[in-house]
Amino acid sequence: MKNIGDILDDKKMRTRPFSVPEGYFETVEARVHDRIEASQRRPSLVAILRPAVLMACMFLIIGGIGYGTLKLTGSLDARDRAAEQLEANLRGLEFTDEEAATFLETELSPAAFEEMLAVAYQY
Amino acid sequence: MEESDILCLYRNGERHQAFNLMMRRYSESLYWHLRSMVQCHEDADDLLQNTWLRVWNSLDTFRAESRLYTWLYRIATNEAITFLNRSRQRAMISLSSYTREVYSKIAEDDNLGADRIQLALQHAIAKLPPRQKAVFTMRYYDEMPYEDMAEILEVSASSLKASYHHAREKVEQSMKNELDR
Repeated sequence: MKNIGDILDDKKMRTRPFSVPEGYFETVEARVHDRIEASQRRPSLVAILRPAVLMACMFLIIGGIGYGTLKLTGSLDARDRAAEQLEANLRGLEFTDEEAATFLETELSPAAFEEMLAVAYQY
Repeated sequence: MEESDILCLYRNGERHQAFNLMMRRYSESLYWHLRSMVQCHEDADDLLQNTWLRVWNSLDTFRAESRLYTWLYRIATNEAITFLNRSRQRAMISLSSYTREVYSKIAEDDNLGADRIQLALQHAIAKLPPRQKAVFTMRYYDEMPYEDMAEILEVSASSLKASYHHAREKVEQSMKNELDR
């Protein structure tokens, strides 16, 4: 076999070997003009708004699924139920105001007790 | 019609006519330039249309500091280089082989099917990095002067000579490996 360098220098090799569909070059001009026309056409209002509408729909669907899931699993009512339970428990306890004050005074630090009094009596 | 006549027509407000004359004069050479780089008709056709679209949109900015022909070639070459870089990245992301994809596109051309040496040359060109591919094909097929290539690629003629030399060595080595197998 000939040297690769000589093969590459062969005039036949330096001619592009590709084929092109018949009449291709006669169609280029018209197709380029079609592309230019299409790129200059102003998009319709529907086309402009479509992405925003799609995104809004997506948020609605995701929100709906989330709300439905919370509703179905009862997670939304859990906080209300816990508050009701605490109130019921407290209602069952009986103590005088003096007992409550003594309890708080002994259980809380002096600073926290002062702060609580300040909030309660707004001084 | 000469380049200067086409530009004169354009400056006199005959925008469409000047553009049509440009397309008639340069479409074929630009197509073959793009085809040598991307090696597939569909891709070359797409890039040719993109090139003309870009030319149409930026003709107002053409200041005639370079020749029209080198300006057109620069736009087409940049389109091809961007396309080749994207194709390589896409292949990398999808974990497919870029060269295998190009080989199968090359094999679709009826003219190439049975010619082992031509296939080896096209495979070797496919393996070159995009810019080197531009340098190699412009010089090898079109025998374009280095000064024109320098204007198109915006690099010095001496670095282009070195780049062509390296590309040719790579092509020879790749062809040798393929033909010896």
